[in-house]
Amino acid sequence: MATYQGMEEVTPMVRGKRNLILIAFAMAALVAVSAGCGTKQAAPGGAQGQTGVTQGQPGAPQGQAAKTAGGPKTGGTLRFGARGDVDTLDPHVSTADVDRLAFHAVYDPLLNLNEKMEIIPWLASSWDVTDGGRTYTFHLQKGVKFHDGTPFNAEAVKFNFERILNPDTKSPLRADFSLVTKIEVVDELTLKVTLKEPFSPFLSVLVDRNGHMVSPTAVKKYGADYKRNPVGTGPFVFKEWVKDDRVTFERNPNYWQVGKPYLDSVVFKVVPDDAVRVAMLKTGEIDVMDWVAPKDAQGIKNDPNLQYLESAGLGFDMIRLNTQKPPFDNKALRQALSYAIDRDALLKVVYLGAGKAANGPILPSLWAYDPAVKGQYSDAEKAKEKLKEGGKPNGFSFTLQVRNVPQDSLRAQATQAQLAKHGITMNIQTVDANALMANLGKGDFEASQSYWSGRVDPDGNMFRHFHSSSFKSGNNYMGYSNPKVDELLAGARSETANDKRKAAYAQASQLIADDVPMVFTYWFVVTKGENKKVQGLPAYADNMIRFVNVWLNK
Amino acid sequence: MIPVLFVVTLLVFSLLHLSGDPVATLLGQETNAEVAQQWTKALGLDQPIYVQYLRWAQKVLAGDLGKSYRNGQPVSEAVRQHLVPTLELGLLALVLVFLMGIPFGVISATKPNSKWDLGGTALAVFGISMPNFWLGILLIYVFAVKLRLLPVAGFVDPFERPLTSLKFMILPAFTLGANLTATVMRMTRSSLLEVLGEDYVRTARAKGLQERHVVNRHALRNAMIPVVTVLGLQVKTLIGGTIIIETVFAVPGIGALMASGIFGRDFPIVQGVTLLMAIVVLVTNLVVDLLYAVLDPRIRYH
Repeated sequence: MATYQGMEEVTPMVRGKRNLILIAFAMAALVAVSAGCGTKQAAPGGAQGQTGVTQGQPGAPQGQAAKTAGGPKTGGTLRFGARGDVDTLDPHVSTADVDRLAFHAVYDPLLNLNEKMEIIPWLASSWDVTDGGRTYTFHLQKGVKFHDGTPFNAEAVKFNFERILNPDTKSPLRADFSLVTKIEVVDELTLKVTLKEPFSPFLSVLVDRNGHMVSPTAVKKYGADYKRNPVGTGPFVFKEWVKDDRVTFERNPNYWQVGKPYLDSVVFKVVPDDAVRVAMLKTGEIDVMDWVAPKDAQGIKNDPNLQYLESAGLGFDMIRLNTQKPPFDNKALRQALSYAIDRDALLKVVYLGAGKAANGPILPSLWAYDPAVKGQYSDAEKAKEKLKEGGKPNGFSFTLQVRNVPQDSLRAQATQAQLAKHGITMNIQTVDANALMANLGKGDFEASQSYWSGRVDPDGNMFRHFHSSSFKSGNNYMGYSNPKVDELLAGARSETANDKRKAAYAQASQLIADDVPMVFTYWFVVTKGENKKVQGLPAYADNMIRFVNVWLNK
Repeated sequence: MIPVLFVVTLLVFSLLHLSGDPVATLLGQETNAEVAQQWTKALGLDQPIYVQYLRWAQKVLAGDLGKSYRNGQPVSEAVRQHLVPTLELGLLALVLVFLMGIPFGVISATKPNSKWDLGGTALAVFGISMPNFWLGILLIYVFAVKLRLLPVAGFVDPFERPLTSLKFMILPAFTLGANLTATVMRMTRSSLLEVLGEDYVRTARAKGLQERHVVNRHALRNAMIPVVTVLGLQVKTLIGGTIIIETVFAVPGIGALMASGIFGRDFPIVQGVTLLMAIVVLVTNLVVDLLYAVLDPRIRYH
């Protein structure tokens, strides 16, 4: 080492002093940093958030202006902090969640949902169901135009439905229309759809992607590029899409609901990081965010400029068990797992009390919910029994695949600790979200921790998961097959009387709960963090934002 | 250069295809065996891997980088759109590195073991050891949420509103450059200390030149050679760092494009961006090599 001026001054004592100061600096830094970063934890089992105040009416029919006295104010831009960029703005080929939110700005669905998740008229002002549930006649709203001036009429709806059914579109929604045999334009505002057999969930699929109406003219004009140039009838017109940054929609001045929308524009701001999204909500750089993590809820509740909204959701958290291979080809072991998991403890620790412990696939927020169904529950004694019955009285081990998301890791770790008490060793394998889905598709898993976002119609929470035909073509990754369940689920689809459907789902739920192809752990809450000035944006159970009703109280 | 690019892209291509099925990703929970098959065929993913690679390479040589799996946008267009934010971020980070790393390094070297030196060293240790996403969130919390001095995250076009754009860039650029600044500080310090011990420096001092003159005109230039080497080698770290920093700070740059491409298994995007990054790294190394000739007259290329 070359000598340099000043080196002679570094005596051992000076060196020691220097090291001490360095260490002091480092420690001070560490302390400062950890003090600054602690987030307040909500007390376990803490207060539930209040459900949003309802403002604004669901779809006022044309000609009826929205009530104004002391009511909604017009103007302003709503900035929504999205967890990721939109994938495509074409509802017929879309699969991502963020897309669905954007569709409610630029499109109108044929039917819509109110806050109670009941189907209400929208682009279809009324409809008749005849011929034992095989024929649907839709009477369409008059005087509606697409953003490019194309008139909205029965021909347009026919175009949309046929586009979904056309194999060249390669639409994932085709399966929902598989029973459609005929689509007839009766007159300009009347469309008749005939099904091969009754299909009760038919109307419920028209409130989302299957029902969002795209302009036939635009599709023909843009072809494959339509997904980046959406044209609908919705309250907002597509302005621009800066990838990975934002999507902007502007007020539709010719919207068919007079007086609406209230906002001047809607901006989807792409903010992938959760902590950053909460920070932006706090500083007012965004006005709304969804999927508020339990640990951030208290911070939002405490902030005088923000409001935290929460309501029961449509979906559930669960663990899928692969019934096609060991160890979960053994029914008793599956049942043991279900009894061994302490759902109430998970609710407290993982979800901080927000939500409910689940016992099956039908939640209280669905009309088909039957409180008499006992479903799955925690029972340490029964867990022991079932372990013995399954030939593993001292427990067994398996691997659980988990998404690499902090909330999911927390869930898995809490579950792992609970199972250990019963001698069940759960190994956690963390994978990225897409790998998880791919492994499910391939059947390459023993247990997989996941969630189902939920559907308005109970069929949406049941058939594609538990009917044997959904293995390899639906979401029945577990390989589950119970002929009695198949019969009940198929029957409930074609049954038109709601009380009979409810009874069928109740029976099926109990059978599924007993067979345990899935361990149901948690019934969702839908959460929203909003700036106090945002009105008319409740936490809809389907997690959607119905922009047409939103206004800003500035 | 071309063979290197060929190897890099081939490697990335193979790794990508091992990472997962794009169609399964695109369909998510809406899986449907029939549609999955259709999409796989439409994207050309049913072909054997080497066929897919050759097709891609062929198109690239013709100037076509393909289309995004997710939204059909041409990859070259996507890259072009995402370039400005990353360039702004990278340049600002480099400026900060020079403005802070070198002067601090010089002060540390000219006043060794003083309080300046110790303070600077402590900061450097901090800067090198902190994971950058963590530092980013800390800075956001302090400067944006608590002090409300700067915006939390986002991007403003520098050609439309340059000053606002800079405001948005301060925290991310600082975070991105923190690591490199610390490294440069340390390198400058040790390199300069060594040079200051050389004979010709002693001569300059003996001649009666002012210390400042000695340092800036004579010593610094030569001390910069190892610093420039390190900088050149670390540019790739900067590029890699943009992936995380842009995600945290919601900056729609190449890093964000890469991140969303990886998570979305959008192979054309990932391959296109990788190609771009590989070219940038190779060019940077070339520039660094040429810079030596400027800094050190002893080096001449034939």
